[in-house]
Amino acid sequence: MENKMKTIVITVKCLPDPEILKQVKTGGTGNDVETVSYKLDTFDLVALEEALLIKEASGGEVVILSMGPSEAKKEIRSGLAMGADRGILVEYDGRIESAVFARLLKKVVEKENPDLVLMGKQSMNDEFGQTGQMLACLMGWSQVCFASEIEMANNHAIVKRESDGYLETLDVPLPAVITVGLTNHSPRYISLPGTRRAKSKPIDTFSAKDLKVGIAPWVKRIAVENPSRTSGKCELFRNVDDFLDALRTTAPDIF
Amino acid sequence: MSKTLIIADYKNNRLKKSTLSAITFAKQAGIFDIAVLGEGVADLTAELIHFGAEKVHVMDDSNLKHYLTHEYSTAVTHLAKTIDATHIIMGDSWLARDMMPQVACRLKAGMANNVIDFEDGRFKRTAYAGSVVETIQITTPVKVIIVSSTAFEAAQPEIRNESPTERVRCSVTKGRVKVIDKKNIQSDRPQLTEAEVVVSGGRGLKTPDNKKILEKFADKLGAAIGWSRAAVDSGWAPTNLQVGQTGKAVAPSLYIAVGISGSVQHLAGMKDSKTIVAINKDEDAPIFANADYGIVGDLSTILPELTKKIPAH
Repeated sequence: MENKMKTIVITVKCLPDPEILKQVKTGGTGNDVETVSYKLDTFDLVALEEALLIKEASGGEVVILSMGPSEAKKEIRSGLAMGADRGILVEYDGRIESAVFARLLKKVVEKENPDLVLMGKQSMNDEFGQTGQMLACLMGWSQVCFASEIEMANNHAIVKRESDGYLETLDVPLPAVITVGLTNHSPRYISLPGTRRAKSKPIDTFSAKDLKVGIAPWVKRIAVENPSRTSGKCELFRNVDDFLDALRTTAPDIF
Repeated sequence: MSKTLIIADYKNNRLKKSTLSAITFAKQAGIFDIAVLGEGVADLTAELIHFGAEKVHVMDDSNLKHYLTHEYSTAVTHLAKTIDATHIIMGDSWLARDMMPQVACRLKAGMANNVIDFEDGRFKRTAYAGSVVETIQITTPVKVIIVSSTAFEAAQPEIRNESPTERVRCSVTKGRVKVIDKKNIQSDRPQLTEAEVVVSGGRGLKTPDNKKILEKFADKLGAAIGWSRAAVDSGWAPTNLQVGQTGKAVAPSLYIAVGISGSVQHLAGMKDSKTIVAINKDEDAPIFANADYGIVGDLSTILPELTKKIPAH
C-alpha cells in the first residue's frame, strides 16, 4: 500500500457549555439539556489537532464526521476552517446512545475505508467514553485509547500513551481506531483565510435513517437530576494557627 | 438468574482501591464472583479469596503479562460467556475505561460508567462533569458496569472465610498491537489517583518559587501533587498530573487546593474527596463553596508557615 494516509476525525457532537450547564433544568427526561448552547467538544478538538498534525507530517486527507441536527454543520465548518478537507454530517435528531452511535459510525467508516479513525477519548457531557472502543470492536480493528502522541511509519501508527503510571509506546498496525487523551498540542486557532477556504469545502449530508442501523438503544435515560450540592459549609479562616487547629481536629493523623 | 462478575485491577501486585470499591458495590447487590488476569497472580489470588466471592476465577497466562486491549477483552469475554455472567463490573480505572466498552460490544451488552447507585435494576450515573445525575436503564440481558470508585468505600477482607478458586482455561491469542516500550514515569511521590492526601496547585501560584514552596509542603505531608488545567496550560506541569474533568479524577481522604479558583471542570475531578481544604487569596473564589475548610490569604506566607508547623510524614 502507498505511504499516504487518510484520516477520519469524528467530532461526536456540539456540546452545551459546561459553565452554562449550572442552570440545567431538572426533573425532565434531560433532553432539554442538549439545547442550552453549543461548541465543539474539547476532546474532539484535541483529536482534530492531532489529525491535522498527522496530515502535515504524512499527507492524506482529514475528513470530519459528525452526527446531530443540521446545525452541526456549523461545527463541521469550523473544523474545516482549522484545516480539515471535507465533512460528513449524518443527520440525527435527539440523543445518540453509544451502541447506536458506534453502529452508525461503522456504516460510514466502511464506506470511507480510512486507515485511521481518530476520536476524542470521551464526550465532555455524557462522559460515556465507549464509542471508540465499540467502533474498533465492530470493525475488528486495533484499538488504542488515550493516545498522547501519534506518529505514522509504514502503515503503522506509533502511539505513546500514559497507562497507569507508565509511558507506553505501542506499535499499531493500521487500520485502527485511536482515541486521543490529553496531548501537548493545543488546538490551533482558526485563521481568516482558513475560514474563507472552509466555505468552499464540501460537507456531505445524509439522514441516519438511510444508514439502516436497526437496533434500539441499549441504554435508556429515564431521569435527570442535579445532585445535592454542599455549598456554604466551608469554615473560613484568616489566621494559620486557627486554621491548623481546625485541620488537626478533622484529620489528627495528618496534621 | 443474575450472575455478577468483578474483574480485579491491580498495580505492583496490589489490588487497586477501585477494585475494592467495586466489591462493595457488588456486595450490596448480592452474590458475586471475582476474576483476576495476568501472569503470576498467585499472591493476588490469595488476597482476593477473602472478600466473600462465590468463586475467584484465575487466568494466569504469559500473553496477559502486560495489559493489551485485545488479549484482555478476549479473556474476559470468554470467561463471562463460560459462567453466563449477567453483570460484568469493574471499579473505575484506566484499564476499565479501555477494556470494558470492548467487552460490552463483544457481549452485545449495554454499558454504563460513572455508576454511583442502583435500584430496581436501574443505575444512577453522573455526567456533565458531575453536575448531573442520570437514572438509566440498560435493556440488554448482559450489562457492563464501571463503578465510580469514589462513591463506594473500599471493601475490607474477611479473614475467616475463603472463596474457592478456579483456573480458567482459555488460550489467549496475541493481538496486532505490540508494546515497544514501557517506562515507569512515576515520581517518588505517591500516585495521584491512589494517594490518601493530594495537594494541587493552580494559577494562583504565579511564580516558580511558589511552586517549590508547594512541593515542600506536599512532601512534608507525604502527599501526591496535582495541578489545575490552568497550571498545566501555563506549562508548569505535565498533562498527566492534571486534576479535573479533562484530566484525572481523584478522591483522596484529604484534598488541598492551593491557588485554584475552582472551575466546574476542576471540581469534577476532586469533589468526591472526603475533606476538601482550600487556600486562596480571593474570598469569593468558587473553590471555597465546595471546601470544608478554607484560609484566605497569601499562599507564599501561608504554605511555609503550615509546612513548619505540621509533623513530617
